[in-house]
Amino acid sequence: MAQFATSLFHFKKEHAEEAPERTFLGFAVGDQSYALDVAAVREILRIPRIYSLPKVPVFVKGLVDLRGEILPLMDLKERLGLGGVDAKKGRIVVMLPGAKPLGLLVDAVLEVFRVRADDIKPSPEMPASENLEFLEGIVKVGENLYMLLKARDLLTPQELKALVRQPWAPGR
Amino acid sequence: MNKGLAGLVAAPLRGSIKNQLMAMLGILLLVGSSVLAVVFYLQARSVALSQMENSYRSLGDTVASLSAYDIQFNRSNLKNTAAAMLKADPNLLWVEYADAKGKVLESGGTLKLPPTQNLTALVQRASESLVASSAGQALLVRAPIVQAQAAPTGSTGELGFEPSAQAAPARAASLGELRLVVGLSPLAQLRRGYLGFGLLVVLLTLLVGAAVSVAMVRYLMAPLGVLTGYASEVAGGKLTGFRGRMTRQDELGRLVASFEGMAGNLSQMIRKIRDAFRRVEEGTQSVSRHLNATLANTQNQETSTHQVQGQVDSIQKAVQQVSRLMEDLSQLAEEVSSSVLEMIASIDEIAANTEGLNGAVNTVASTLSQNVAGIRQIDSSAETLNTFVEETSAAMNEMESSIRQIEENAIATRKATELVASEALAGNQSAQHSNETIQKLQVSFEATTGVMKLLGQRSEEVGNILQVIDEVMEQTHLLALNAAIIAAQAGEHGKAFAVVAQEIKELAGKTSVSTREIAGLIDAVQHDVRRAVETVNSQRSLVDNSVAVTGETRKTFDRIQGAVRTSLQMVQEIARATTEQAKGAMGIVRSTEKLRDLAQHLRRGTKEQSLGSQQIIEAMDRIRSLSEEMKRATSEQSEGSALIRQAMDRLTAAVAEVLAQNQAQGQASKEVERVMADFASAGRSNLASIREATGQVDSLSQRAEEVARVISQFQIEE
Repeated sequence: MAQFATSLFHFKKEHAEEAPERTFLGFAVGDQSYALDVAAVREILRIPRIYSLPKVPVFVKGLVDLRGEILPLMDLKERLGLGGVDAKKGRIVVMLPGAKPLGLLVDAVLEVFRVRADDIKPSPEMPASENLEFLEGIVKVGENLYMLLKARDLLTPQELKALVRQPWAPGR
Repeated sequence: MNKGLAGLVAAPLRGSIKNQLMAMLGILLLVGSSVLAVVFYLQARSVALSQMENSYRSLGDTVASLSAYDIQFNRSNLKNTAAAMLKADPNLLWVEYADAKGKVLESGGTLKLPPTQNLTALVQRASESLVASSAGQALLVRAPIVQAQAAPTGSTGELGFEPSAQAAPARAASLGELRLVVGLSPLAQLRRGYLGFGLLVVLLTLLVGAAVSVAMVRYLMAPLGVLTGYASEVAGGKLTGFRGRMTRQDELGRLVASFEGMAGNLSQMIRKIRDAFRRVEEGTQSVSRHLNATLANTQNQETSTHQVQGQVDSIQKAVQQVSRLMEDLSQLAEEVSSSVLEMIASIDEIAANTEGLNGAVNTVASTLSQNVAGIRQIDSSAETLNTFVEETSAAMNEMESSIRQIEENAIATRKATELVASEALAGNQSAQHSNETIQKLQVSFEATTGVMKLLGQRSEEVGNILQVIDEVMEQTHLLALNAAIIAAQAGEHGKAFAVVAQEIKELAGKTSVSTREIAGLIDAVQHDVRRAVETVNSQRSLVDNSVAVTGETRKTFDRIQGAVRTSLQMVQEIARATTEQAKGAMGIVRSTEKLRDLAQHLRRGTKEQSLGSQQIIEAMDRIRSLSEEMKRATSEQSEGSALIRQAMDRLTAAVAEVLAQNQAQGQASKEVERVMADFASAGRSNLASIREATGQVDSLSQRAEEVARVISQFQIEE
């Protein structure tokens, strides 16, 4: 049985070179490392001045001015229930969940890495894990264990709509 | 009684003028006030009388007008009217109705007229209203009764009662007369009232008058008193000091002043007289001197006579002396006799006293034995003293040696102190030196601190530069990431670019690491600098402390030096004092030795005294036996003195015989004296004539002296 497993591993390794590669942007939120597919990432920013908004959920930090483009800002750390990001040290990952960009506040940006698609492990099945809908899978790069986030599912559709439909949203 | 009253009245009149004046004024006041009271009384009486008369006259008029009808038509009513009037007024003595012709129609009353008079006659005669009656004086009131006229209107023919006088007096026809005799008893009441009032008036007048007259008399009599004083002083011979006792300007004041002038003049006159008499006296004295010279010559004659007489007298005196001496002798014999008696008594007393002496001797003996005991005590005390002195002497010797030790110690102390003084000086110098060194150290410390601070500043600047580098690295890292993202999004085409981006990123990472290392080093340097500065600062406070401490040390050394100097002086003084003390101790040792000698002497003395007392005791025993012998001797003496007394009695008798013989001799010599006196009287008659002249001169002199004395009695102004 064990022998079979080892041979399977080797098999997989041989095929890995042929499997398609994906590129991710790794960043840190709290003690944990997360990663987003670079396809959904536009750029990385240092935190400029944040214009705060009234009557919004606690994870919506406000708006930032990105070269004349108004960008809504969401604190990922707050969204994951791990407290707020330090505004001096943190970075903004500008991502495109849909047509409109959205600023994602993280503690630090770590690296851009490539993994083979079959190295990505699915997120563990757990009871009552509805909240883990936004996880695509888990991948280990070196020492780091990255949780791969689904850019679209970071917010519920209602939340996303509410954010994007704001009067300040670009395109109006 | 009459005589006493006269005396009472006369007494003040015989006194001084003041009293006389007072008495006269008193009498005058009494008489005047009495007259005043009488006049008052009479005046009041007449007023009351006229009032009474008026009231009774109006009563009479009223009744008369009422009676006009009755007298015309019903005369019987007149009686009733009269009775009613008498009954109503007790003062009414008599009521009488007469008709126009004077005939009495009706009368009544208690009046009893004198038999020779009747009312009609009185009425005829009475020119005044007062009549004399049986009840004393009485008032007569006559009221005419007139025809009452009918009213001029003649209304009903009734009779009117209008008073006739008012209606028509001219036409009134007289119908008769009503006569009333009124007693004067109301006046008696008036008199009683007035007696009190009168007395009051008299008293008041007397009081006021007395006060006024006393004041007046005093005022008037004051100069007279002064004059009386002057007169009595002049009578006593005093003619000075009359001035200004009375300064009044009236006649009496002038009299006093003139009296004062008179006294002054009199004084001057008497002085002149005295001076004249003095001259007279001087003349008299010169006459007297001449007479005395004559008298002396005559007296010389007489003295020879007197001398003879004196010899006779001396013989007589000798006889008298012998007599007196014999009397004295007799007296002496008696006195001796009495003395012998007294002696016997004294001898008895001596005997008694000898016994007392015996007792006293015994007492002395016992006292002496006590004394001997006391001397023995003294002896033992002296012995104690001796031993004490010897102990003291030994102690003094010890003290002397200890004083010498002290002296040596003082010298040693002095040397030690001098050493300390030099050490203290050296210490002070070294302290000064270290102070200077530390101050230099302080300066260099400050310089080091400045350099350290500069170094710290520089390190901080380097740190700032590193921060800029770090920031640039971060930016580069970010750019590399973005480039990597873009390269990834570019796919296969962006692969090369992704490699470059990776390189850049790695470079940035390395730079960042080395920057961080530099920052760590600089932080370490800064930390070290900070620690060095702190160390320097703490050392600096230490240095500061050292500076203060060395300063303090210097001060302390100064103080030590001062103290050492003082102690040196004190040690020297101790040395000096010790030397003196040693001298004193030597003196004490010498005195103690003397004292020891004295104590030994004392002991010897007390021993001798003790021996002496023993001898005294023995002597006292002898005295006791002697006094016993004396007692025996006195009793023998007593017997001998009785024999002496008998011999004295015999002597007294012999003396009396001699005295009798001497008296006979005295009588013979008196006869001789009488003969000599006759002879002397002849000489005396010669003298008498001269003495007469002298006596006349003397009397003249005496007169002059008398006059002088009289004059001298006057106190005159010199």
